[in-house]
Amino acid sequence: MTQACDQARRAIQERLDGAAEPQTASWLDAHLAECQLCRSEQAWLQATVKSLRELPPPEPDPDFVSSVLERCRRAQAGRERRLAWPAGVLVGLAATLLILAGRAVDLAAIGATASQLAQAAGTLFGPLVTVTSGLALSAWRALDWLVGSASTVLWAGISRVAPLYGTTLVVVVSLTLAFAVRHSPRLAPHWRNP
Amino acid sequence: MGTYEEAESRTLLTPEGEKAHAETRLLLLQAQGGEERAFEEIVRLFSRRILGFCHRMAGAAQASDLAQEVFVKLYLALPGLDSTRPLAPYLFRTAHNHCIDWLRKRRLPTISLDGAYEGESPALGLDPEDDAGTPEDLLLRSEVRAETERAFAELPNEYRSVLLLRHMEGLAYEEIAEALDLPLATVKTRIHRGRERLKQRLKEYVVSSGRGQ
Repeated sequence: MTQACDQARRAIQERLDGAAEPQTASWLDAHLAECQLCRSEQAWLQATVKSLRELPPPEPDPDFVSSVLERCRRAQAGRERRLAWPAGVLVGLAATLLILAGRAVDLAAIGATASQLAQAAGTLFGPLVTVTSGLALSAWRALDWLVGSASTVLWAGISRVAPLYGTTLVVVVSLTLAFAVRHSPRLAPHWRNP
Repeated sequence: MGTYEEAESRTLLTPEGEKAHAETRLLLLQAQGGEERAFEEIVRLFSRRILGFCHRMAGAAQASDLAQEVFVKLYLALPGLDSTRPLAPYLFRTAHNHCIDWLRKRRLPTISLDGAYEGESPALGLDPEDDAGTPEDLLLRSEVRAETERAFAELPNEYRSVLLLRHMEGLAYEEIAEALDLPLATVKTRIHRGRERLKQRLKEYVVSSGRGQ
């Protein structure tokens, strides 16, 4: 095989994909007119491509589309369940911060000393307290009526400023987060025409 | 049952391809807006192509399951999809990644043809003008068609995927590069090498089984 044949093989491949320049194509035609080996090569490559295209494509099952739609619904429900957990934890943390901030405000309102405020700050940021409260208040999101009542009692006990204000905030934050998760633009759409 | 013959018109680089893209784009926008029927239509439009791709990449037994998963991924990704981009490369990329993951997880034995067909065998100078018929006549015989199926299935994944997209789906080099996230030069090289391997394999089969004599 000559160097020209090497070049011709590359040109044959390019022409098969419609990517050969007109100049290359003319040169190739001239070469093919003289070279039987390259003509054979081209014929075999063309036949190979044709035989590939002749392979029958598989037919989808009749219920293929409905199976896909059913799987989509299941996947969407699963994703919402998975996202609900972090949202619950966020609500718990938000509620904890609100309650403990209320405690700090309460202490400040009665003229607490610096050491008392420091102690409150320790409580506020103590990891164990935060995590425990966070978990407890995550559960509260699921049982919001129960925790809502408990929170009202807790708040009333520790705050003289505005006991219902914090509770209202917690409820609002919870509902907002739940709504945000349900209608997050990152989630797949809920079909309008089921 | 059709063939892949009409695939050439699917590329975006043709007017037909442009028109199909505009229609798909509208459907995509409607699906993003919550129209289930539009999504259903997208699934219907692409189901045969994606199923065909999965069938040739991962085998008939798993094809339907893998193809369905591709559409579920599309559904979950709908909100973030750029509707101005063509959908086909996205779907084929998802299908490709999904099939490759599936093959890797199961560590399925793939038959490598590396080095098996190097050099020219003495019988390779078969003349297309011989009495035995042209290469096309030879390769399109039903018994050779089965061998084409086998030979294609035994190609390494990287060649199979590009040949599928080029010749069975009719995508252009650029579209394949986008679909498989590969440089253009790599796509060309793989198409050329894959085609060459397949040709050699079929040629040897025809010659060794006496069909080309």
